[in-house]
Amino acid sequence: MNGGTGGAAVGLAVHAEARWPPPDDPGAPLPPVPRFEASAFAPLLVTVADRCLTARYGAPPVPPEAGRRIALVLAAARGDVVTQTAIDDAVAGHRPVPKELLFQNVPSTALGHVAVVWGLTGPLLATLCVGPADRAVFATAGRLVAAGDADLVLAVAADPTGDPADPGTAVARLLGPRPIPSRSL
Amino acid sequence: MARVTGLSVLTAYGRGPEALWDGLLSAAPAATPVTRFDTARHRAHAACTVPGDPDLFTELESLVGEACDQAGLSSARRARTPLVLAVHAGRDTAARAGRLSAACGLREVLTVHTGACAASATAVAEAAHLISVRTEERIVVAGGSFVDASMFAAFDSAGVLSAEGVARPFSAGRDGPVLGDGAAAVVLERDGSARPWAHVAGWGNASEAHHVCRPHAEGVGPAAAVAAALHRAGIGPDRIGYVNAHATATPAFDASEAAALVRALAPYGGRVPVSSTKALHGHCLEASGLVELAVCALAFHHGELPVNAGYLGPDGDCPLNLVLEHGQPPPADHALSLNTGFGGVSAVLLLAGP
Repeated sequence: MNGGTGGAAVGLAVHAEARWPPPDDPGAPLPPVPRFEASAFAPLLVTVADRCLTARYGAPPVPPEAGRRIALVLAAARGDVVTQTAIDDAVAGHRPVPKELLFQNVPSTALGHVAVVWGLTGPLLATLCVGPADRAVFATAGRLVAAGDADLVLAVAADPTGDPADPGTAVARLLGPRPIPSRSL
Repeated sequence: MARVTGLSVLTAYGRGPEALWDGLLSAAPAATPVTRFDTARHRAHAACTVPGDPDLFTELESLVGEACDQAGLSSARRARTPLVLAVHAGRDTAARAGRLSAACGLREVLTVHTGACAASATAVAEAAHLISVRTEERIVVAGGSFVDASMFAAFDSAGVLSAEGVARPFSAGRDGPVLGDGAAAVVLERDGSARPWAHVAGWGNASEAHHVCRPHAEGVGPAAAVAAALHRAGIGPDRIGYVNAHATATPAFDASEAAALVRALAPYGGRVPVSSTKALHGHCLEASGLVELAVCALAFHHGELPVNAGYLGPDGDCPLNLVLEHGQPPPADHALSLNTGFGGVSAVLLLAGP
């Protein structure tokens, strides 16, 4: 196998971090995300990812040479239950399914939105966690870095509620070795 | 390299690898009018479905058992073996994954991949990596997607499905996919006595960062994933004897994928045999990577490439060497299986023959 450290365990440092709800403003409303209006699932992930990347890089996008070496990883406790319920209800009620719900019902589209805005072209992995989400994202991020697939990983651990009135919680971290490889600064 | 020592698969052609191979050889699409739910209000009315309305996790339990039996895994070995899963992300999916692992006598669930149509390929890649670096001795990878009323309605409302009920990948006149039931399980091992179906020699994954549900015209995402897989395997494009393409028969995506293959496999991109078998077994969404790994393994096993069915004629945007006739052997000893998904994710498996 070519590249990386051959998969040896990699100790990851946290280079930036953002949480929702924000610790200094726990009642803040979740910012809307265009084309993801049906559910708070994607806005939750996008918001923490944006804030984390902004803390490290300022405004988007990141330089292309850095974007190529940044992976995106999601570990969520569940899927987008609100969007799935909206589809199920439309079908049960013999109503047309709003066409944007097709892509909104897939967790990878939220990561894809972040990738488009920030120019991230490394690996993209959307997963559900069976145990703690933090453990899952650190394990996956460590694997990608050890394999040489990425220098940094934007890792989002999320516990979306499935309640339309409550988006749930999420934390996004930019993970990687310390120091960050110069091509990804 | 990780060895594929157990392989089980369920598609609309029936249960087992040979049922799938017989279906592929027939070149007759498995699509039939949908009876599982009412499609009267929809534009599309066909899908590739198994009889009845089976429960996905019940079928996955059976498939995992078949794959483990085939690999000769004792109960003690199963108890040391983890599961990597690829399914749609629902409300209680994580809990059901845990119960599936326990019911199969496996150690634990490592990861549940939910990255749309790239989920299964990404799951296999994770397992192959953990085996290649000796973190795990063996891993079971399973995945599935069964057509249901909500999924069908969402695709139909978006105008994505073929109205005529015939998928025509890379062909002139293509108008979209036909959805298909698919579920499969594989055992990947570092060692083992069973003759492998194939080896997982490489893999690649890339985000296109262009649009969440439209492809870049030049296929930059899938091209990057193919390049990563070749690099990891340490081989050049001259060693690729077959590409099982993602091609869902969607006009823009097929053209983008063709551009990606021409570019990533240059100067051989226009000559490597390519087919998308979704024209036959249907588009199995999260199960695609595993079902199509089975297709590649069967092609190695039988020494014949599956055809690109539904073809009406050339499309100038898809300048590929499509497999249109039966009886063509793979001209080289490696195959690529490519999948792309919403969000702009591309995942590639590079498989070597046994």
